[in-house]
Amino acid sequence: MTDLALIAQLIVNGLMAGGTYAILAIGLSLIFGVMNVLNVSYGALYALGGYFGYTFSVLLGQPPLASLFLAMIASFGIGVLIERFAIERVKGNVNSVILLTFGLAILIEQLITLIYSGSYQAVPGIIQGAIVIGGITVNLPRFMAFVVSVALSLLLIVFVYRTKIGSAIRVVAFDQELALLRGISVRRISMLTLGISSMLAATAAALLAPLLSLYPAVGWNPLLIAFVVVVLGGMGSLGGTVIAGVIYGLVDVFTGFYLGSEWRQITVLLVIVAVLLLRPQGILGKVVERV
Amino acid sequence: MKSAVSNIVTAAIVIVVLVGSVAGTYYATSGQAQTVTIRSTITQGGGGATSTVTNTVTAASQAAEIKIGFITSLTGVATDVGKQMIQGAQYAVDQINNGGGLCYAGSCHKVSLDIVDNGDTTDIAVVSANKLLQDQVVGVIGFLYTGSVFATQTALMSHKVPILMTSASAVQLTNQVLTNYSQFKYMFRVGSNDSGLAYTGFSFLQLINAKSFYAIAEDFQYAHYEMGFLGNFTKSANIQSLGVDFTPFSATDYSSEILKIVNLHPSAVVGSFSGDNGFAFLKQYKADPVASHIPIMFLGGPWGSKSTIDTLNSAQPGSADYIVDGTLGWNIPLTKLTSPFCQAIEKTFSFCNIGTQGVNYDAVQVLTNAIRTAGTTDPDALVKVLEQTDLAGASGRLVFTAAHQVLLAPGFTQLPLIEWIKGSVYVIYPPNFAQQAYVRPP
Amino acid sequence: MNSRQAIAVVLSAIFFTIPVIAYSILLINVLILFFAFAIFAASWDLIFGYTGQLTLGQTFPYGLSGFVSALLVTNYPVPWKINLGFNISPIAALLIGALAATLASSVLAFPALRVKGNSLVIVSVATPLIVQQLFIKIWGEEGIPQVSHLVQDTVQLYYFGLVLTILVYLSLYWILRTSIGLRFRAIREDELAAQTSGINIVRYKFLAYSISSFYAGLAGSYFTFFTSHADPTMFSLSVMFQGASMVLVGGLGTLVGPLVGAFLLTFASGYLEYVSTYRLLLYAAAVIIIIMFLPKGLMHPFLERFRRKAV
Repeated sequence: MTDLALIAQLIVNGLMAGGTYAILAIGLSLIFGVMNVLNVSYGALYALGGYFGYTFSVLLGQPPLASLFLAMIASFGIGVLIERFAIERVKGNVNSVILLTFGLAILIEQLITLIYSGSYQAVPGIIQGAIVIGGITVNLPRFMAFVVSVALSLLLIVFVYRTKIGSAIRVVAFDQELALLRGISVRRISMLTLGISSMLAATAAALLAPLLSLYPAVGWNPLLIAFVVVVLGGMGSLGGTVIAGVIYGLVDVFTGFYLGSEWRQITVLLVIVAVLLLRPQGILGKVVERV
Repeated sequence: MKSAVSNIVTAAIVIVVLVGSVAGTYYATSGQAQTVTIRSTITQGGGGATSTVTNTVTAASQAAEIKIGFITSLTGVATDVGKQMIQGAQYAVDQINNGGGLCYAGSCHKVSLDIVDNGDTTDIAVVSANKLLQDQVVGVIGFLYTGSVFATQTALMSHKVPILMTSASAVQLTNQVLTNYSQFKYMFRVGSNDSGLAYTGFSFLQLINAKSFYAIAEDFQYAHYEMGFLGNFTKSANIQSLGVDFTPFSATDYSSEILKIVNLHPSAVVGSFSGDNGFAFLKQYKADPVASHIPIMFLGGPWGSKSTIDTLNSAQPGSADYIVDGTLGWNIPLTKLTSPFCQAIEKTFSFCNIGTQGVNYDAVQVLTNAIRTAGTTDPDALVKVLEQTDLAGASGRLVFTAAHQVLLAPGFTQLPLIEWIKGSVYVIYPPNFAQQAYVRPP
Repeated sequence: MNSRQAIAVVLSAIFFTIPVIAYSILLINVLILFFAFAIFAASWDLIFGYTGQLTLGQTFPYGLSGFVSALLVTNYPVPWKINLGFNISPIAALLIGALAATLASSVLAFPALRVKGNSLVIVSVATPLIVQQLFIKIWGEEGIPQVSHLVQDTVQLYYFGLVLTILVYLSLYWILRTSIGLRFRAIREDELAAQTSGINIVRYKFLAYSISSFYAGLAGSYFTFFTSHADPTMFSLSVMFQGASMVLVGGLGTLVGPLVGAFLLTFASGYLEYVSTYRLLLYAAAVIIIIMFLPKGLMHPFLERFRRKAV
C-alpha cells in the first residue's frame, strides 16, 4: 500500500470509529449534564445493551434489525428503573451515588456472567463484509455503526435543542432548583435522561458486538473512552462532544497503528488524567463550575 | 420525602434481585455437583491413601479412597476448556473404578478426583492448591496457566506432591527439573509445551512453502516463548519474520493489526490465543477483503472444537473457514487407544478433543499406572517409576524426557495440523495421517 | 484499659494461638488473605471513611508496592530486576515497596489534590489502570514470578501477617486519636468550615493520602509474598471493589469496620464454595443494599453500645 493510501485508510477508519465514540460520549454527557452524577454503571449498561441484542437475535431468533430496536427499548427501560429505584434514593450524597453505581456496574456484569457465562459470545450482525472504494476498504458493520451513530447524534441534538422536553432537560442541567420552580419534574427528567443514555449505549454495543466480541466486562473500556471524549469536548456541550469524539477516533486509530495496540489503552487513560488535571473545562467546552 | 410506596417498591425490587442472585447461585452450583466431585466427601481420618490393609478379598469401597487433585478453570475465561479437561480425567477415573478400582499392594481402592479452581487470578489458585494439600491428594493434575504453577509449586514441591501439568506450557517449568532436581523432581508434564506448539507453526509454514510470515499473539509469557521458538525455527530455514504483535488480553479491536498485515502481505499469519478472546481477531481478519486470502494458522487455542467453529460461522459466515490449528492428537490412530477413546468420548460428549480431554485422560493413566507399578503412593518411589513410563495413551506414546516432559516427536506425542473447511475438520499433516491436502483460502 | 481494648487484646491472643490449637492448611491460608485485605481495607477507610476523600485508586500503591518488592526479591531474570548483590530480608523488601508506593502516590497527590469530587474519582481510577497497562507491557500479563517465599513456610507468613495487621491497626488507632485524626474528621465533615477554622486542608489531605498509600503498599507486598508472584491483576477494579465492599459492609469511618468486613468476606469466600465462585456478585449486592438502606454499615448498631467517644 502506498503511504498516501495507508493514511487515507487510517483516516477513514478513524472517522468511523469516532462516530461511534461520539454516540457513546453523548449518552454520558447527558448524564453528567442533567444529573450531575458520575455514573460508573454506564459501561455496564453498554454491556447489557450488547447482551440484549445477543439475546434477541441469537437466543430468541429475532431478525437482527428487530433485535436492535428491542435492545434499545429494553435498555431504555433498565435505565429508567435504575434511576427511579436506586439512584434517586441516594442522590443527596455524591459519594453514595458513585459507590452505588460502582456496585451496580459490578452487579450487572456479574449477573450477565451468571446468566450467559463468561465466554466471549459471537453475535451475528445486521450486515456483513466490506466494500472497497478507490483502494480504501470500508468495513460495512463499522460503517453502519457510524451512520446510525451520526443519525442518532443529530436526532438527539435536535431533540434537546428544539423540543419542549429537550428544553426541560436543558433547564434541569443548568439549575435543578430553577427547574423545580418552573414546575419541571426533576425526577421524571432524570429518569428520561438515564433511559435515553442507556439506549444510546445499547445501540453502540449492539452495533459493535458482532465485530468486536461480547463478554461481560466489555463495558469498561467504552466507559473510559466515553469519559475521555466528554472531558475533551467539555462536559456541557453536546456539539463539542461529537467533534471531540471524531478527533479521538482519529487519534486512537493512528496511535494503534504506529505505536501498537497496548498504547491505545494507555493513551486513553493518559489523556483523561492530563485533561482533567490541566484543563478541566476541556478543549471546546465552557468552564464547568461543579466538577 | 420518600413515599411509603416508593420504599416498598424499591425494597421489593432489591429483594427480588438479591434472592434471585442467591437462588441462581445455588441452582447453578447444584448443577455442577455432578461433575465437580467433592470437597464435601472428605473421608474420615483424612483419606489415608497408604492404608496397609492386607485383606486379599477387598471390595474397592472398603479400602481407603485415593484422591487425585485436579486443578483447572472452574471460573473465568477458560471455563469451557476446564470442563473438557475434567471430562477426560473423569472418564479415566470412571474407567478405573468400573474395572475394580486401583489395585496395588494387595488391595483395591476407589479413585476420585478432587477438583479445585484455577481461577483467573493467582490467589484463587494458591488457596485451591492448599485445599488439595489439606485433602492429602496423591498427586495433582491440570493447571491451566503457567502463572498458577509458579504461584503454587513451592508449596506443592515442599510437600512432595507429584504434579502432572496438562495445560500450563512454559518450558521453564520442566527445565527446573534439570536445574534443581532434588526440589523439582515431582514436576511432570503430559501434553505439549511452548516449543512443541511453536513447532507446529513451523511445520505449517514449511508445508505451504511460505517465504515470510507475520505473528500475532496475546501478551502472555507462553506466547512470547512460543514466538521466540518459532523465530528460531524459521530463521534456520530462511523463512522471514515480518514482525510480531503482542496484544493485550482484553483487546477487541484489531483493525490496526490487520491493517499492518495487509500492508506487509506475508505468505502466512501465525496466531496464538488461548481462548475466545481470539474470536474478535479472527472475525475481523476474515472480514477484511485482502487479509482473508492470506493463509492463517493458530498454535493451539480453542479452534479444535466444532461448536466453536460452528458458532463463529453462524455469527459471521466463513469466519472459521480455511483456518489451520496445530493441536494435540486428533481422531487419528496415534496409538491403538486413540480411536476407541474418541469414539467413547464422542458418545457421551458429542465431540472429542485430544488436547483437552485426551491429555487429561492420559495424565490420570500415567499417575495411576505409576502407583500400581510402584506398589505405593510414596512420592519418591513414584517419581522413579514415572520416569520409566512407556505407556500408550490417547495423545500418543508417552515417554518422559530427562526434563520430565513427554517426548514430542513422531511415534511419540505428536501434534498434527488440522484444517477446518466449511465446518468439517481434516488432518493435513503429517503425511502419514493426512486426510487431505491443505486448501488455501479462496 | 476499657472494654474495647480488652476485647482487642483477647482477640489478638486468640489469633496468636490459632496455628497451635486449630491448625488447618485452609484456615491459615484464609487468615493470610484476611490479613492482607484487612490492611488494604483499613487504608481505604482512612482516606474515605475518616477524611472524606473518595478515591477509587487504592490499588495503585497496593500493586506498585507488590511489584517493587518483587523486583527486589525475585530470582527470575526480568526487566528492571533490582540486584543488590545480597539477599534482602523480606521485611526490608516489604518496607521498601511500601515506601516506594507512598512516594509515587505523593507525587501524584500534588496535582490530584487540586481536583475535587467527580474528577478526583476519575483520575484516581485511571491511575492504576495506566500503570497496569504499562506493567503488562514490561512484564507481560503474568507479571513477575518466583518471588521466593517470604519465609520458609506458611505459618511464619501467617504470624508475619498477624503482627503486621496489629501494628497497622494500632498505629491507625493512635493517629486517629491525636489532633491529626481530629483534623481528618474535620475535613470530612465540612471542608469549608475546616479551612475557615485554620486547618491547612492541602497539608492534611496530603498526609491522609500518604499514610493510606503506605498501608495499601504494605498489604500489596504481603499479598505478593503470599502468591509468590507480582500480578498485574493487583491493579484491577475488582480488587478495589472488594476492598471498598469490606469497609462499606463492616462500617465506614470506624476502625473495626474494615476488620469485620474483611473477616466476613474472606471467610465466606474461603469456606463457602458458592460464595467463592460468585464472590463479586454477592459483594455487589451487599454494597448496593448497604448504601441504599444502611449507609453506616453493618457494625453500626453494635458499635452504638460501645461508643463512648467517637473514633
